[in-house]
Amino acid sequence: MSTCTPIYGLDYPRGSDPPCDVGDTFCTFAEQVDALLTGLRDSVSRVTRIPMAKISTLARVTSNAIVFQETIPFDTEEIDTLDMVDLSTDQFSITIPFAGLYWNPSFVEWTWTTSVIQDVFGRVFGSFASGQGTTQATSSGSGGITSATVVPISTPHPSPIWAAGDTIQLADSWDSGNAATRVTAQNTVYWFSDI
Amino acid sequence: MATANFQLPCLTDQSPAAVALLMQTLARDIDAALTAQLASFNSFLNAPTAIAISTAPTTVGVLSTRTIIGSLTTQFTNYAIPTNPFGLTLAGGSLGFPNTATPTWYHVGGYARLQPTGAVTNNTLRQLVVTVSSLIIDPSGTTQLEQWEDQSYETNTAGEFLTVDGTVKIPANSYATADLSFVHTNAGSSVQATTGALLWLTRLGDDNPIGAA
Repeated sequence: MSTCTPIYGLDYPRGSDPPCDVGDTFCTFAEQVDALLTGLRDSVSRVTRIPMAKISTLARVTSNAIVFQETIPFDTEEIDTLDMVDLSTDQFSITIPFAGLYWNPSFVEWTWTTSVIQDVFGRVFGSFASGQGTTQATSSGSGGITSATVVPISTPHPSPIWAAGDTIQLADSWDSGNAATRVTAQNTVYWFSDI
Repeated sequence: MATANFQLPCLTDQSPAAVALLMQTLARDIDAALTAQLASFNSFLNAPTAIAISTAPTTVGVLSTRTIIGSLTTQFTNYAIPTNPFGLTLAGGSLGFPNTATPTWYHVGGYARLQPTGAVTNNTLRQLVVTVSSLIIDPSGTTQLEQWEDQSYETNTAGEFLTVDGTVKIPANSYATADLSFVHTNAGSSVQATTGALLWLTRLGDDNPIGAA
């Protein structure tokens, strides 16, 4: 006769148990169930609170020069569910906690006031420790702009498989020789599937 | 005496006569704990999601200010979209977020094709905007939570396809909405957001670290 359940190995009483052991048997069972429920709670907690981090900045950066792939520093942690961000030691990065598929919605906004801006060009890319390369999205505007406007960037695409320890950063470029100002930037990374 | 995490009852050697009662308590505690976990898991599997689509074009005249894309009809939703509890009129189309007791994160996005109805002025702006706002009890209006834009500068008559998205935290017990709007600077003719513009939202998770209570 088996002494426990077939899948989870929960011990149950047997006819040969001395009556004085009933308390130990009861407690063993309760503690085994407690451990299973704890594991279940941890798993459910992970999927109802997915690995996710969002960092942002409202710091304005103005440049008259051509800017090429300048990595954007952040100063505000809006959410971090799994120790993916530590702005006190790295103000640029979101670190991937484990291998999987992630979304990376990002957003950068610039403004400029000159009427002679030409070919303002923005770019967002990720930096991957495991060497998958970079992704980028671009947005550009040119000619005849007479008032403040924006060039946003978004990368609303499922990213390739990222590895634990990969760091996701955001950079921008603009190739106008006229003054432009980055007014806000947001970078979000969230898990949506294991491999 | 009880277990460490879920406080399940343990039988002590001093109380063998209580086996039946404690076994009943244990079974009910296990039942309640499993029900709570199942409810959380089902909530994840059925993340509140809504997709709205425009059923008619929204057209505005030359050199427009920001105009909300109207005629939105819900194409898919798996929750009851809350009705406005404050009696405020929402301009154009919008999608309401679920009311929740805790702050919750959402991924929100939009798509539209912006097409001139006639002459095109070279290198003029086409901009698509998604705005997420929270209505407040004070009838002065709304608090803007987030706004994202995408844009291009257009020279042709075929129209421009634009998409925009971002993530936002919806405060607890709030009535929040997302809307889709556009701006253009075409001077030669009006511009329309053609039928089929999309606005969508889906829940990502709550605002607490993984493993927290």
